Amino acid sequence: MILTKKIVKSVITWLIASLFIIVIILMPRDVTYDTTEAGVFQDAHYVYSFEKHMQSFKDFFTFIKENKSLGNYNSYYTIEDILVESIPKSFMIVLLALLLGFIFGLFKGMIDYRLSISSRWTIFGKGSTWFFLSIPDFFIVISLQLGLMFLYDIGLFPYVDVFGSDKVDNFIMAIIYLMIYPLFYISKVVSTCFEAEERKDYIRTARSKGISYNKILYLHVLWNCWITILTNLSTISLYMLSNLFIIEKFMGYKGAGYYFFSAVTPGAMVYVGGGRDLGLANMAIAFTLIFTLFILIVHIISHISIYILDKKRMGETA
Amino acid sequence: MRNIPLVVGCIFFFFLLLFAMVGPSLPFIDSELKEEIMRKDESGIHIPPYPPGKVNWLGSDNKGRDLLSLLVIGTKETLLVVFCAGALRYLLAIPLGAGAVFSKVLLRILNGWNYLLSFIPPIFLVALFLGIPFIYFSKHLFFWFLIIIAIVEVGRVAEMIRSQIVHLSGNQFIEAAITSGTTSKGLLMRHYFPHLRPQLIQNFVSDLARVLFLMAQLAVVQIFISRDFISQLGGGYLANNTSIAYPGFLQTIMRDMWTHSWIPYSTVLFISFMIITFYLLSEGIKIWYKKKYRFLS
Repeated sequence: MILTKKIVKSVITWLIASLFIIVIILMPRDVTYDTTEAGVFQDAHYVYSFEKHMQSFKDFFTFIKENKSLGNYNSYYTIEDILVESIPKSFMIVLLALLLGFIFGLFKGMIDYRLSISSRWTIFGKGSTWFFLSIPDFFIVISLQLGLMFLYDIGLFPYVDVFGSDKVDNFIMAIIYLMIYPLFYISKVVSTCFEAEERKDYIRTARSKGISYNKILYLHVLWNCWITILTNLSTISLYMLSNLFIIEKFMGYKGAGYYFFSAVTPGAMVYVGGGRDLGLANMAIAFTLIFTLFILIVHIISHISIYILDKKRMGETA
Repeated sequence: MRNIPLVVGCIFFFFLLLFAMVGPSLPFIDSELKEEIMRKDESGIHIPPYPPGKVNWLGSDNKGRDLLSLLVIGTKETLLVVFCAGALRYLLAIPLGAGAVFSKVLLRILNGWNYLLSFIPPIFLVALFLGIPFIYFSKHLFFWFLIIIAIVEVGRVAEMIRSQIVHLSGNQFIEAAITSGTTSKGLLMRHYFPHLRPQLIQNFVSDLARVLFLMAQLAVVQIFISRDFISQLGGGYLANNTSIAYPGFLQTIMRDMWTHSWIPYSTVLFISFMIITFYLLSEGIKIWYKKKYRFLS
């Protein structure tokens, strides 16, 4: 019951969130310009009209109904082509980065905890995690890129393509960049959780029974930390999506984030007489639904796994 | 145990304050931010950006202004903007969080907002809001920028405050204060606030780092706190950053990264330095309060 309630709540919020974004995307954006007699840009005005807003909603649905398509991206590709091409590209890097970040983060967290027992080494464990979580990740990205180019220049490292989206290099680099945050976030969660558990009675009991230190750590404590780790899953994936936009733009990696931002920000150019319409509003809406759907799925997965873990634990104590 | 984060954080912050206060009069700083559109020497004519060297320690920007001077002088504006956005966020969050303890309606709004935002990446929401023509062309873009950045994460802060207050309410000293007839104002000022203060200060400082990080991300996607429109070939007008806060120098990062990497690199170095400073201070404040309120040690 609790599980269904949670899932229903997530789905409803997903719908509201998507609608909220679509309302902003479909907002009418015709602007009147003030110009000098020679047509030089002076200022721009904007008046919101509710009727127009409604009209753009209607237009959106009639367009899809009549054309059975989202429209053309350019004269060669339809928006569907772009979606089909870009989404798997981004999905793969997000999924792999999440998975690898998760695994490495788990190890790093356990190492951090082990190191934190002696205060001399804690700076390498928890200290490094803190550092990498605090430092903005684009700093690491830029440093890595410049570092790779420098190493190639002096001939210590093979050539790595750091810009583009068609080579294996790009794929791997994108995964590494995206992995930074989940890795350190999870290691922080794990080591904090271990510290919270270390004084509990069940550990003392297990110790007094003579169970080895490692076994307690990896079997008992880790098992109890899973729920905490999984509750953080949706925060992590949300942050990764944020990062995906920046990293794809930065790398020229033509995935979903790249196209989405090109559709949703009208660009830095203003033309007198031109509207500020999002030229590809339909594409923006399609991507919005897909991104938020991804987060919804993560929410549901974390709800279900927490539910199962909880039930298992209840079953053990009962 | 010594409080290393606080000490290091304070030293770093001292440097930032020094830059902000007396930056323009420091000896190695060009306070006028002269634009040099051309430079001549034995090897020929050079156009900006000039690479790092004896004249420009960190190189120059695309207009030929000394990058180190720009960044040092820009410190004041960066600190100011970040502080304003942070302060606005807390000014909104404190009444919202405290109100949500007593009012069911506010609690609903707060929970709804937080849950909604757990589906939308913040940078995405900010980009959408700032793209609305009414805001995009507004003469008060700067204020809109601050308001939107403040509002986007106001829920997280308000929730933190709310849960702290709820947690405190269960304590006996609160009950004692109520039974002894303390007024609600006195209760808030003398009993709740002193306990909230450590957490508030610590979170406020780390929020400053988050604001700066968000601003830097926005700059990469061409969204700035203040800009003018510059006429371009072909009849268009390019929105051009006019602020000298750090994130603004990331405007041309996509081009500079491959050709004049010193511009984005120095900028990102300064941004990272400031972010690390805020996090160190926040961590240091946490440890300081922890030690202050510990009776056994």
